[in-house]
Amino acid sequence: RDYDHLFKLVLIGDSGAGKSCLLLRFADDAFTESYITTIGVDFRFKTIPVDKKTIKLQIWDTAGQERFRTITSAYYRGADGIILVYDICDRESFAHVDEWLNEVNRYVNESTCKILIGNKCDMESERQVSTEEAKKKADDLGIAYIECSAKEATNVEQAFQMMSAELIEKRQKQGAGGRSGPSAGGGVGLLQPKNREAGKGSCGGLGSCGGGD
Amino acid sequence: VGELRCLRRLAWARLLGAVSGDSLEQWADQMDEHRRHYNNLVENFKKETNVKAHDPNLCNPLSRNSNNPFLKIQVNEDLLREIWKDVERTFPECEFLSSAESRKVLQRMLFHWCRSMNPSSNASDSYRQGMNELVAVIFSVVKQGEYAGGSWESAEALGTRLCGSGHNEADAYILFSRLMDHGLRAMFMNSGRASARPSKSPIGDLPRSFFSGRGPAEQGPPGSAILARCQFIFDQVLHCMDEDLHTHLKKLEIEPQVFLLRWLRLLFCREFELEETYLLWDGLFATAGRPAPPGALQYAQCTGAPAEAAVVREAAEASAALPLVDFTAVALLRTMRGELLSLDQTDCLRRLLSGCAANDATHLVDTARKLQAAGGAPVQRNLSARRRLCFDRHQQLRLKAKRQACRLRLRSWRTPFEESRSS
Repeated sequence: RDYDHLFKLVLIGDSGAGKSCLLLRFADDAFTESYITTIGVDFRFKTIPVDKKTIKLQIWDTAGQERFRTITSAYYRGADGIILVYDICDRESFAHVDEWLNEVNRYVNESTCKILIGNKCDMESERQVSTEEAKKKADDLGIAYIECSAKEATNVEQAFQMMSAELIEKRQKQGAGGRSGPSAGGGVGLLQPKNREAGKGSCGGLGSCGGGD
Repeated sequence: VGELRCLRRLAWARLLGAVSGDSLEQWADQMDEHRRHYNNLVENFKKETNVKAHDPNLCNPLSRNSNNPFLKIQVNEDLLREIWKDVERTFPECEFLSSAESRKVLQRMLFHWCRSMNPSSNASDSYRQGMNELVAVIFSVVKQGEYAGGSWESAEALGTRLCGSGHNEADAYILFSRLMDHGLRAMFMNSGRASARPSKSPIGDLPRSFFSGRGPAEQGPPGSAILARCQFIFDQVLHCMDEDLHTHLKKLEIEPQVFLLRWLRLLFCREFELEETYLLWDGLFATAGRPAPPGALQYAQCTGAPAEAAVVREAAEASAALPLVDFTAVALLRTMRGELLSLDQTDCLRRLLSGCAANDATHLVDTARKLQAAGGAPVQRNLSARRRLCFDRHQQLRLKAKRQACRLRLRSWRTPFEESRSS
């Protein structure tokens, strides 16, 4: 095996927020203005070094159209990290952050790593959501926040690094318990159901999540 | 090839049932009828949103009357914007489809289709990402088939009536709407246990409790027609025809809907170049509505709740409407078979979702037909080898007869057109 840890990450957020572009920048270091709509889900992987460890990231890029998502459970099953993307030039996409988290929390337990990304920070003149406001939101939700630009490659690598570092730390803590670290990431093991007890109350916590806990 | 390009527009209209009968005059009349319907939709929309024509007491931006055109205008604008987000990203590599003019047409067609499916305030419930690509493929075919005029007066009259460039928008709408009726609509809609986000309302959000959310994620019976169909293709068709591949993907815990969703919703158009997509769709449409051969694979009887049974029925109807699609999916999977069997989960997913999975549409359709005729046929999975052999032979004979019939039929719709041109 050519990696120490394998993590499954899921990109979510409103249509047009730039999820696919962020992924294209991260995986292929490329950018295109003429991207196509994601239908269902797209998929990429990339191996990166983090803290002297080799990390293989399996990244699921989901379609943004928010209403009536059909096969959501297949996307979230076994996810180690959730990357929630909004467009800093589109207030509505920011306003939907709570709803996205509500949805996510139905499928993954609360201890799953989450990060909030404000994309398109190169378009400062069209900004509709201030950094302070987003930062406060993320603090209230207890998740990390970072502003990126897929177009100018600002902070994209860093966002994935941040998430990976947190995941490694988490897995090492877990590894001390029962799961034997790297061997759990052999592909098949990846999609083992999460330990439900770890996210006590996550299933019933629909209402409380939006309020900021 | 040029000749075939022009004919495709008419051929699809015929195969998708927009026109019927033997004479092209009849076809022209039928198309005119459909066009009137489309033009009515467009006109009604204009009337509805003409603020000046309404009673100012009912009709002002603050009125909460549900007939208030201001509300409707807001709802319409939201839907137009939502559609535009995708239309802007539709086949960016195609010069014709990515022109500002074409994009406006695509947006209009989708918009009016949504409104015709649902009353105007709920129209946005009908729009789903992916429809933009279906309508775009059709629009490009219609454009290529437009009648540019000719030297024979009578032919010109008929040519214009059938395929005049002035009818492009209405005709593409008709074909799109017919295609959606062939099981595609069910692939986009989420019947059953839908988890709906409240639709945006201009007078503020409706209370959350208004919408019943879905409980914690669990694996259970399919909640939508597309899931039921994915399960059918994977656990019945593929399992029957290629048990090794089925077992392999199952072992890797790759859920079929992850790759089948896109294939089914877009009718494989992401997996091929546009030119190849036309050929593929020719093949898929050619079997539209044909009854399944006796003993063909069938959806398992649903013993669950009525809602689940309805979902399975919907999926079965979608499969039956374009019967070659399910086999094309299996044939496409099998083109990557060798690779998939040697790959791990990550690489399998990458391969399955990479897009442009195949490049020879004609060959794929051929394979799908063979699978449908031979492999897909066993009634029970554990048909004995000998019985299966007999069955295969029987199916091959049927297929041969069918192909002949198909050729004859093809001739019969081409002849009148050619006659009229040379008269």
